[in-house]
Amino acid sequence: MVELMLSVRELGISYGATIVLSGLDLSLARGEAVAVMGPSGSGKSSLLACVTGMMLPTHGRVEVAGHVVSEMKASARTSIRRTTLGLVFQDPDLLPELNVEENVALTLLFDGYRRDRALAQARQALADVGLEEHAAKRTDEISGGQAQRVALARALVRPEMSLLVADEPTASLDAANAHKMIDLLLARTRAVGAAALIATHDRAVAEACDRVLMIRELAAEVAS
Amino acid sequence: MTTVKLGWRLAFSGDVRQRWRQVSVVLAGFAVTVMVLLALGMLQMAQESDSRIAARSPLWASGPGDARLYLSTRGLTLAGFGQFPVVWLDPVAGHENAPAIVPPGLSRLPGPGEAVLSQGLVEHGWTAEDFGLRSSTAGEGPGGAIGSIGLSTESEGWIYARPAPGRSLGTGGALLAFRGYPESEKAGISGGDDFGRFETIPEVPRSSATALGVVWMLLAPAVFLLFGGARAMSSVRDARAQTLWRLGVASGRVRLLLATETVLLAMAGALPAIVLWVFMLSRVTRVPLTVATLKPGALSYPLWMAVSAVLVTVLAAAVFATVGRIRDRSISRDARTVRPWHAIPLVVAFAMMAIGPWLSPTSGLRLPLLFGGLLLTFAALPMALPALVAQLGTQLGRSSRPAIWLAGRRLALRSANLARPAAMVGALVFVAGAAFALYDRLVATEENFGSNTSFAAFNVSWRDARPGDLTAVKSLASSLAVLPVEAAQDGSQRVPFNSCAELQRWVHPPRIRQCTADNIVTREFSSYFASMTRSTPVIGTSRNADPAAAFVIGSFGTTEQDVMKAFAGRPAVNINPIGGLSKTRNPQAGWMLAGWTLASLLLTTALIREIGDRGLSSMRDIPHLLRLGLTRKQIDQSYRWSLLPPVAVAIPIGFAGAVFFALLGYELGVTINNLGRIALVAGIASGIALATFAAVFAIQHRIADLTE
Repeated sequence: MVELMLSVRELGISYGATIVLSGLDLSLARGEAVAVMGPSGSGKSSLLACVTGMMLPTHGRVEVAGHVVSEMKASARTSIRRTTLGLVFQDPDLLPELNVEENVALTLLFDGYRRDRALAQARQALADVGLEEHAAKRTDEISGGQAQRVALARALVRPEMSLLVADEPTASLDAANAHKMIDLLLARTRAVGAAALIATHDRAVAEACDRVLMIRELAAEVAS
Repeated sequence: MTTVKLGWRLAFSGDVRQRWRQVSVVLAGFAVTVMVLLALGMLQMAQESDSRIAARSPLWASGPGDARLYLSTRGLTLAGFGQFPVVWLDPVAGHENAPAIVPPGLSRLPGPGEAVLSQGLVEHGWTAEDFGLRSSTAGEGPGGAIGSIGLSTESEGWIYARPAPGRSLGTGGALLAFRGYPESEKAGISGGDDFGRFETIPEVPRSSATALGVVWMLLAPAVFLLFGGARAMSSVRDARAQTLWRLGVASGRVRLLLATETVLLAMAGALPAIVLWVFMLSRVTRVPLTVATLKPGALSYPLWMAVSAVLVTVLAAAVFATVGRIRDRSISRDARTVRPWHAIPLVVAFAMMAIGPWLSPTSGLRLPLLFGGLLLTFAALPMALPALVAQLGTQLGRSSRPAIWLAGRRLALRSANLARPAAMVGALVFVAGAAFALYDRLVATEENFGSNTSFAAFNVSWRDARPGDLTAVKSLASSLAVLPVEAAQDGSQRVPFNSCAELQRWVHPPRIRQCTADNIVTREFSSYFASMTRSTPVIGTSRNADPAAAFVIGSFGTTEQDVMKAFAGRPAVNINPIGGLSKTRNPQAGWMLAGWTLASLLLTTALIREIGDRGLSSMRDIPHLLRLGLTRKQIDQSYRWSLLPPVAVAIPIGFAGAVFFALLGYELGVTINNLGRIALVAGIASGIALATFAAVFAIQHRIADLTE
């Protein structure tokens, strides 16, 4: 039986009277990468917010690695987000007060890992994305592309991570860096045995994934 | 014009993200403008008061032939009113009509045996007759009272009196000879040796004390509020500056836009403030917490000065708002702006205060150094604190607890920003401790050693004593025992009572026998009486009594005014209370209290504003950290750890500064040194600051919960 890292059933999201998504079904198996595409305002970010537990759907069910996040309390969803999900955003969102390896180790430290163990794990994650030698640098001493790879290392730092969720991870990068970034993201995701859900406008990114989910088409179908 | 238009739109943007900045800058503009205008008014008032005091300070005669006026001053204390001078005037023969000897506020000298009272005494219902004198119409004020030109304030006590017909101020002793009053009220303002000054404690502080007070308690806290307010956070403003800069607009133009936005917002606060000042505040004649009634318009000054003050305030806000970055720059560069040497001004301030007591007692630098150190401590605290907080942050950054570790890293690199709320707390504590040390010294009075007696006693003396004076007084004062005074061989004072019965009538201590069966004062009673009055009681007739002195005993509650009235006709009566007195007030303590209150209000407002800024900043951080998977509890913990340690550093520094000032000020006679009381007041101020923190946290938490 295929092990599902993400299972979305009959998902509906509304903002007041405005229906953004309705009746969306989506499954991701271990090792699978799905690109979510669609025009701005189509509901890509809302879908990702429901998957990561940052918002609750209006109706429907979201299950991540066996955890029904759509039925969990906020604190439990936060815990799932920290332990089971890896998140990468358009902006790397690195904390400027911390150096590179501390940024990667941040959630481990807050989970009570011993500092040396957390930092060792962070350095390993940085090595996996090719940034080992930058571990002790300040965040303003690395380039934008490197910062985005640090964010990827941060998302992949936990061995128990099951689902990588990326929202426009290449939007702030040039074509060459975007290409490298998406290759790395998919390779590392598969290497750790996780699945990846990537919202993007970039057709090249979508083509690198196993499947593409066009939100607008889906919504249109549902509407019809 | 484009800049002004853009600035206007930005300043008064309807975007909710600009709201906090709008409130902050407008409020700071309003409060600071009021404070600056008030400070100018206070200085104007003090200078005017100094001029009036100078005008009533007569010019010493250079020699006997130069004297046109003899003068003797006495202090008189009235219960519920305070102490004031009674100035006895005695013109030198041939100069009775010389205009120069007429004090300001009088059209002529009062006639012999007459007195002119100040308006403040008249309004309290006193008349010259209450003091054993006849009312004069020589005053230029309403009802013959002393005219305003001769008074520091409308409410102060002052009496000009002339010896009764046929009497004078006599000769010798402390008789003072003068040429007359200065022609210009500015003439004696320097208070040089050429002028005699006979003030008790004026109701309005002197110019130098006022200048110190307004700088310390009004302007410096106002600058703190304006600095923070002008730099209030607004993501709209930041984004606008970023966008323009990215589009290639010159930094100067971007700064001009930001300055315009700040000027417009500050003006929105300053304009109501100036209207309030011109039409209301400048016309007040009573300042809350003080006892003085000011002359109408005492706080007012030319409109151009007010407008200039407002312009300076608004421009200062613009400068504060535009100094520093207009685009994002790295935190590490930000961190480099905090250096350990930033703590040096605080060390210099402490050193300045410490030097004073080591200087010669005659040195004129002792108090300027002490108060210079006080001002520098206040100004240096916000500068020194980030340097100390950065050090603390480095230590906390080594913690194994992640919330503390993260907070420590933030403190180490963002101490200039994160220490600002704590700097306000430190300033609050410092002001509380130092102001209380000064205030308590002003209100402290010597223990009234006879206040628990059943009688009141006075040593009384007068000038130009004549035989029969004492008998005449006795006949006028049936409710008082008027006794002669003898000097004992050991230098002490003996008071002969006519009989034990007389003694027992006035003084009856519990469980102490006054006399033996042989009509001799008991040793026990003698000790008791001496402890109360510093005089030795004896029974018998006087042999070598001082003809110009008396010992007066009355029932408890007898006042100096009662005694003065009883000595009607005696010139320059000097009454020295030695028992059963009510405390006298120090009219300047009220000004200290008012200044302290205003400083505390300004600093508390600045504190709330700074915490608000921190809250907004954290509300930006919270979603970011939540996305990374940190829990709300963890984020809150880290937030608290980044705010409270700076407070824990600021409170001891503020307290230490206050204690240091109090101890050194005590050496110079201007403060108390009761550390327990100072600690209590500083503790209350700290408690208020922490309660403010807690309240603002709670409100922000509630808002964050609602918006999540």
